[in-house]
Amino acid sequence: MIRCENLTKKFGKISAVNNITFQIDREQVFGLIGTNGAGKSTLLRMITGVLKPDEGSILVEDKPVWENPEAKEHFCFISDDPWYFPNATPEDMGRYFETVYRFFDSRRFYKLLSDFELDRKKRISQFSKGMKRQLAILLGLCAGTDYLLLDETFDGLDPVVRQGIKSLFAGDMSERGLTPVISSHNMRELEDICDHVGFLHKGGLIFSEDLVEMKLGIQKIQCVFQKEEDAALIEDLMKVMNHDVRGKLHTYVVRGEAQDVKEQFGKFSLVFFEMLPLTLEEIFIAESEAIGYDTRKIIVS
Amino acid sequence: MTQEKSSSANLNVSSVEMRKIPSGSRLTQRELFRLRKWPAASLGLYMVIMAIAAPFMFYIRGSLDGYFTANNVFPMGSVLFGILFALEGYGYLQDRRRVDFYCSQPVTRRQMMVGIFVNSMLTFVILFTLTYYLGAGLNTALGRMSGSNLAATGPFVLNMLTLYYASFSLTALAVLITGKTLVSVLAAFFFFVYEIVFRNVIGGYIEVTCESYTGSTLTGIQRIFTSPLGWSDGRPVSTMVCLIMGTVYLLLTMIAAVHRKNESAGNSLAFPWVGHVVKIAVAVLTALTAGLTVLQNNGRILQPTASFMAVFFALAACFVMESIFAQDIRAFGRHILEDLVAALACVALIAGIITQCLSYDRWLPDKDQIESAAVYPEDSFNYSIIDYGEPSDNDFFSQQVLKMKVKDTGSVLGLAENGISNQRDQDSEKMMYVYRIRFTLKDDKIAQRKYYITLDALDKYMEPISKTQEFKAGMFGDTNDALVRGELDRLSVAFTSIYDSSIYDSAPDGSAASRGKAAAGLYDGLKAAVAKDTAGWDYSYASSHPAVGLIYIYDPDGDAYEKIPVYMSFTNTIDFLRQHKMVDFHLEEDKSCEDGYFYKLTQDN
Repeated sequence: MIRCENLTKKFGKISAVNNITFQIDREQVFGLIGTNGAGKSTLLRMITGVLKPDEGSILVEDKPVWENPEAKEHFCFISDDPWYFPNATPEDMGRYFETVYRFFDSRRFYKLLSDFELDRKKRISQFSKGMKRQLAILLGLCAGTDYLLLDETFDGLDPVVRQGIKSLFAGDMSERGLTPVISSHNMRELEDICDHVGFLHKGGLIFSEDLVEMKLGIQKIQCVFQKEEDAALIEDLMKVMNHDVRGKLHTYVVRGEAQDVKEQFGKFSLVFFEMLPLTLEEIFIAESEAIGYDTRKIIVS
Repeated sequence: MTQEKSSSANLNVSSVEMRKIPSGSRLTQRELFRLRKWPAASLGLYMVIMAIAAPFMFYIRGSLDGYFTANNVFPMGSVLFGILFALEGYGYLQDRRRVDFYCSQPVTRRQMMVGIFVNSMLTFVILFTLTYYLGAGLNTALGRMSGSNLAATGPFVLNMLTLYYASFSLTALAVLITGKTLVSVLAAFFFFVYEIVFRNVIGGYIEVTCESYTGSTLTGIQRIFTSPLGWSDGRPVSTMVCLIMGTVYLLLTMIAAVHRKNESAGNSLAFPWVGHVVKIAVAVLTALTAGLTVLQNNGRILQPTASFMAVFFALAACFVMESIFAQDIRAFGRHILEDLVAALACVALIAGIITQCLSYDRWLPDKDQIESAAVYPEDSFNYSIIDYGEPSDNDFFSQQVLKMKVKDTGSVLGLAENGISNQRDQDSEKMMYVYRIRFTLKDDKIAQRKYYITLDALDKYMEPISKTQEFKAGMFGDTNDALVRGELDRLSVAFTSIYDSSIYDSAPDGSAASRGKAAAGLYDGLKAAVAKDTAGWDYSYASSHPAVGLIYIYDPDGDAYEKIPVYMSFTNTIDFLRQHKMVDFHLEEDKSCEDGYFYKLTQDN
């Protein structure tokens, strides 16, 4: 487990991370979501021991992170703009990672390079941006650490590669208990991969919840009422988080268990009724507004 | 990922148990050598050219004695590569991407710092020593360098290694307190040269303002304490200084490393307070230089112009530094109040320096404080063809004279008081002569001053001084007697008259050298003759009768160990010289002489 308590980090007068407490459990994909400048990168850098918190503590498997190789052995960090040695090839980087990370699997690394069609002897400086990110993720995966922290690394990957990486994550999670921690400002990107989501905004943690549990408690309904005036009564029966009308088609996002919501809607004469899967963005909007954030402002910004 | 999650929930527990991870630094020296190839390659190439190729190509027929120990290429290389290795090794702290890369890895900062330091030292020591001795050994084997010269390279190599160490440590500190490469280079330059420039500027103030100052030891490069520049002559003291300096800078670097925040990567400064200190230091130096420029052109006393220039340039320096630190030209007035205070403080500093110089000029020891004194006539008794000139550490004659221990302190103080009264007397029409007085005080301290003395004071005070045995011992070489006798077997004697062109040289020219005789068999007889002649010599004779020449006692390199002025009244000495065929002419006094030499020369047959 990675446990962060009362984390605060300031750069001059700007509070980049403000009194955050949360934890990252093993064997789940943790998504760290937030707009630009929310503090995601700062938070990840504190967790990985790059930045020292001004206040608070970070424990990785009960060990403090700062200047502690024993704790740092448990994770590999891939930044948003990965750095490579000048004139290095993937082979050179693999050799270096083998030195630094004791469980680095070089054989698997070279196989993955071949699978992803990255030339192991070609200079990385000649790679495209996306290829450099692919390489960084492969290095991280093959490092054999318990946690793999990626800072907006999925951005810039094409859908095919992204899918390939996701399946690798799934395999490693299954085989050795890898825990990926992925930060992004793109919720759609993390939608089908995350188990747990933490949402940051302006240095504060708005929520940190299990995605399944969030989805269990929120339902998205599309319906058509026989009597239009019944639409207004829904709000008296349930906590409506969002209501969108297009002609006669009503789309509700309501809080409640699926069965309860169905029963409530059953009280009305409906021409059409369907329960739809929620997107992460919809869940995020609903949860944010529930705690008083005007998400339209956040999303637009 | 939820399906995978449910399957992973059934995962064998042992796979999520924490693996026991071996301890110890991951960043081995082997890995560092692999990663730092290009600085090592650059060093190797430099040393191959300088230690092997250059001596072979350019000294095919000559001797290489001195090339490997008195050549600037090796000190220059030690300093440059010290800077390069530090910039390259610790430069990762200034790039956010590299900070992310290295600092997230299971390596502590201490391990990185120490690892890079050890790697930098090992690389230089191995490559430098190997190539240096390959070149020196090769040339010794080929007979272009003597074996004794090869043996003498040991202390020099040691000095070069410590010079590298000091340069590396100083630059490492510059890197640790800054956040950008360019600013690091500027900071390193600042550390390397600040004290040198500062001392030179202060020396300039002293030379402009202190009339009685006899020469600036402040500006001597060997007295620099914060920069390894100048400590590269191969002497054990230079090695020791570099070692101490390097260790101090290394300790400061380690302290900075503990406190440095990684987020300062990309900022000009890692510690904002350093900016204030550097800004003030640069402002002070700039103001002092501006003030000095005005004083040099306009006289010694602080003038409104000098004050204005000091304030103006101090402020300008502050504004420039603020812009550099903030990386924004509009930031120049960020700490305007602080800058104003600094500028005014610079004016006060200049006033303080000038006041100190005035006090220096007027200083005179109490009579009972003085153990002895030496009096050196720069204008050589007011009227002499032989111009003794300013004494220097390398000139045996001046050192010989300044070793005298005159006990007639009353007369010496009389000269000094006259000199003080003549200071800053710009409009005087009186003839004045430059005399240097070295006081040896009873607490063993030495104080030396230069004075302009009037003729009447000289007539009054030099007469009794010149009659003392101690004064004559200095003027006529007895103070260097032990030095000469210690090396008599390798010394020669020659006489150069005022009619020889070489009279102004520190050593006999070719024509005089051809007349040189081995000193061993002549020295005792010569000194006995001189002793007889100097018994009757005094200031009143010397001030009206110029010397007719100089006896040199010199070594095979032409360095004079002793010089003895010869006057026409020195009949015993002149006869001795003629007897040994070092004089082949006769002289008569002739005040009407057109050549101005005062003597009429008649060649012997």
